[in-house]
Amino acid sequence: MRLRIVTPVRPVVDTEVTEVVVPGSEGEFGVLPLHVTFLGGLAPGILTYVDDGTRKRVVLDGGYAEVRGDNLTILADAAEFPEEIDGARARAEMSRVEEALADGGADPAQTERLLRELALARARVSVAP
Amino acid sequence: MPSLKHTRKRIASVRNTQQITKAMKMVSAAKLRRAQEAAENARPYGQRLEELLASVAATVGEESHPFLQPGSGAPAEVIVITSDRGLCGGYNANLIKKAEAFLRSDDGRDATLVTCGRRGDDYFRKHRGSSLRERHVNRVGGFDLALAREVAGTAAERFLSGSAGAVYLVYSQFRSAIAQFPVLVRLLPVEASTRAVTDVEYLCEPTAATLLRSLSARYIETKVYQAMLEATASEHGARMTAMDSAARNASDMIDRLTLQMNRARQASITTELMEIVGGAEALKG
Repeated sequence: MRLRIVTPVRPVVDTEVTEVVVPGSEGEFGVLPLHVTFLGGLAPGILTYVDDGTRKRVVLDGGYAEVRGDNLTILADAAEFPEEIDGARARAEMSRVEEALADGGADPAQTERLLRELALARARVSVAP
Repeated sequence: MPSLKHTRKRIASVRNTQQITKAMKMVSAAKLRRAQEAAENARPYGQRLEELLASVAATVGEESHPFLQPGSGAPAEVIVITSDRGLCGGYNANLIKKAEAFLRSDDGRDATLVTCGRRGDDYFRKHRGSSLRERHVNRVGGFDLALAREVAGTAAERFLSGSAGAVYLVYSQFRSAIAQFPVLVRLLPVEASTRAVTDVEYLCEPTAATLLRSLSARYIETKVYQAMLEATASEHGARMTAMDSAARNASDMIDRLTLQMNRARQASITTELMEIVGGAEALKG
């Protein structure tokens, strides 16, 4: 099965895989070969895939997943490998978002945006070296 | 004929200018390479997104989303992407001409303007200040995804609220370092040509209609972002070409001035000799 991850800035991954777990907007889902033709939204989170027997992780910031034939294409807003993340900065970012959320106003749009940011920050911190 | 000293000074000054234009050409060449790479890297995402949007729109039916339907009939909005800096030949002038031609046509009557880049902004502020709606100038480091999202987001909002009947984009398409073309494309409503028919039936999660809404918003952002990347590559290409011909002109001018200088030098030597010979003859007599 072919996995492709592309972002607006650049293609990130293009490889043969045996198994992928995707952070869908309605919950995590796994994709194995012969999956049904599928289109779904993504939530900020961690995508894992098995490439040549090794499990790899990528942090995604929302986007779309499309399964079609033997291809899984991820259109992510942003994608990062764990080794590209600066742990200290990711943790600082997470505490910033948590604070903003704690003393945030009642604006629901604002809260929703912050929750999204928090999900991304948590994902980044959890995989950061 | 200008004096010898004067010509020497001119040569020195032209040589200075030549050095500057040569350096600028080198810098543009390096920046062009990076801009081209960025544009190429962004292409796969745009293509995949376009295909996805087409197939989802086909599944749901286009009536289900306002981005795919004709606008409210209000005046259009034009987003003009120019450069922040000059010294790039006719690059900005061509873009402004393209935008002006549209503004004078029937579709562009009473259209409002959004400018990205100081060059276009300077012009439209002076000539069409009243229709200027939004300005994005002097962005450090050029255009980026955040700016594209902002520009696309506000344009989409205005289209949805009906205060803009359509949204057009004027930018420069990059063909090669010596060929860039100003183009005008319609951003909203989404062009029919992008709605290719596909026979794929997707299992959608969340529903196809929800996906279509967010996909089409993302599609517009990506369009604007790609236009900005094309524009950046075009700008550097145009500047490189302009600086190359400037450096060449300077070298022609140096040749011409050197010839002039040598003539003047020879003339002065001849005159001096004649004077000495004349003086000696007078003494003899």
